Amino acid sequence: MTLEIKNLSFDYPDKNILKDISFRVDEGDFLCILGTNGTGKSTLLKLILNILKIQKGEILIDGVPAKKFRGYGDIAYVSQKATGFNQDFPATVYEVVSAGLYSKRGFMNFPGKSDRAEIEKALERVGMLEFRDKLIGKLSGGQQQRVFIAKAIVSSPKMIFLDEPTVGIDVNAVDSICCLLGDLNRQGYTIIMVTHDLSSVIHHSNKVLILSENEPCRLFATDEFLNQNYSSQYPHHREGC
Amino acid sequence: MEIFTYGFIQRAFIVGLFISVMTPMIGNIIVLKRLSSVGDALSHASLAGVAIGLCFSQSPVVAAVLFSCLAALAIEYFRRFFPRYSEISTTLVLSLGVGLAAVFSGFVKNSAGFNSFLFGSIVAISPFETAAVTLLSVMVIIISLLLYRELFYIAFDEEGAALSGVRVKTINFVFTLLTAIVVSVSARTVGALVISSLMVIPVACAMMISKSYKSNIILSVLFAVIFTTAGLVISCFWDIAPGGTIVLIGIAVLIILLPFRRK
Repeated sequence: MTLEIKNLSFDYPDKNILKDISFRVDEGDFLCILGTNGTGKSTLLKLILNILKIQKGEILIDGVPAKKFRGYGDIAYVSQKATGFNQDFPATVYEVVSAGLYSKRGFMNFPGKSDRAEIEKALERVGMLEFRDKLIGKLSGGQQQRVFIAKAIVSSPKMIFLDEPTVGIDVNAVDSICCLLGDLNRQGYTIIMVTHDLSSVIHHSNKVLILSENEPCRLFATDEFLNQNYSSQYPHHREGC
Repeated sequence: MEIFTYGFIQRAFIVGLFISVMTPMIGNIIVLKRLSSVGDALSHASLAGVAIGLCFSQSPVVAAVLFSCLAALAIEYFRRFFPRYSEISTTLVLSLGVGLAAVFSGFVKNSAGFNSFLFGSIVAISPFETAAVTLLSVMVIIISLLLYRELFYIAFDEEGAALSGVRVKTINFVFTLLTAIVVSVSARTVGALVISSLMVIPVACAMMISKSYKSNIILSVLFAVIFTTAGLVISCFWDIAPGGTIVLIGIAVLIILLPFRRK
C-alpha cells in the first residue's frame, strides 16, 4: 500500500496550517512526522484518514484519491486520545482489541472462533496476552498503548497511523513501544507516526518528514537526517531493544 | 399469595420484567456515554404525550411513545445549532416537555390517571398496554443485542468507531429512538419521573463489581430484575408507588455495594 500527498494545503478559519505539502510513502516504510505544536501533524493524519475534508491538493492511497478510496479496512489508526479514554469504562483488554475487528467484519457480524484466535495472536504480538481479562483502565499507560496497538493490528492492516502514541508514557515504556513498532515494521507493516519527541523511535524509522510553520516541509531518509546539523533541533538517543 | 392471582398484578409483573431487562441494556450506553440527561429530557417529553393523550381520550402510552420519539428527533435537530453545547438541546427538549405537560395536564379530567404516570402504578396497566409494552420491549432487546458491538465501540471510542466503518450517526439516531421507546413504555409502571433513575442505578451497581463490559450488562439486568420484582411485591402489599419503591431499593443496594467496589 502506498500513500502520495500532492500540494496539500489546509486552513482553519483562524490559521493557515498546512501549505503545499508533498511527499510519498512506499510499502514497508516507517515514516516519522516531526514538528512543533501547531504545525499541522495531526491535521495531516486526519486529512489522510478522511476525518477532515481536503481543501486544496491531492491525497492518493494506492493511487486512488482519498475521497474515493474504499479500502480503509486496510488502514489502522491509533489516536492521540487512545489513552485519554474513560478509565472507569468496564471493558477488558480482550473486548477492546475485539473492537478492532469491526473494519474487517462489518455490520452485525459477530466474532467467531477464528476471530478469537486473531485477537489472542494480536495480544501475543504486543506481549499483552496474559492481561487479556484485565480491565483496560487498570493498566499502566504503556500497557494501554500496547493494547491499542494490538487493536490496530488485529484486523491485519497494511498501513498503521499513530498520532503521538507515546505522550504521557514513562521513558522505559516509550522505548519498549518504539521497539514494538520497529518489530511490526520489519514484519511488513507500513508505519506512519506523528511525534514531536524523536526519543528512541528515530532508529526504527527510514524516513523523517519535518513540518515547520514558516518553511516548506522537508522529507529526509533517516540516515541523511541524522547526519545533518538539522537533527540537533530534535534531540534523540540510541536505545537497544 | 392470593394477590398474585389477580390479572392486573400479573400484568404488572410481566410488564415490570420486560422493563427491567430492556432498561439497563439502554442504560449501560447512556451511562457510559455520559448522557443521563437525555433520559430525563425524554421522560419529561413522554409526560407531555401522556397529558395530551389523556386530554384527547387516546391511549396515553401510545401518545407517550410518539412524543418521546419526536423529542428524540428534536434533540438531534437542536443539536445542529449548538454543536459545541449539546446539553443546550437536551435542556430545550426537557423544558418543552415540562411546559407542554404542565399546560395540558390542566385539561385532563381524571388527574389521578395523569399522576399515575408520574410515579408509576401497578393497578392501571390494561391488557392492551401489556401487549404494547411487551412487543416494544422485545423489539428494543433484540435491536440492542444486534447492535451490541456497534454500541460498545461507539460508547468506548466514537472517533475510532467511525474510522472502522461504524455508521455512528445512524446508530446514534437509532439508539436515541430506542431510548425514547424505553422511557415512554416504562412510564406507566415505574413512573416518568423515576425511569431515568432505573436506567442509571442498576448500571451503577453493576459497575461496582463487574469485570467486563459483557458482565456489566448481565449484572445490570439482574439488578434491575431484582429491584423491580422486590419493588412491585412491596408496593402490592403496602399500596405504595412502585416507581419510588424500586428506585429506593436500588439506591439501598448501591450503598451496600460501595465498599465492595472493584479495585
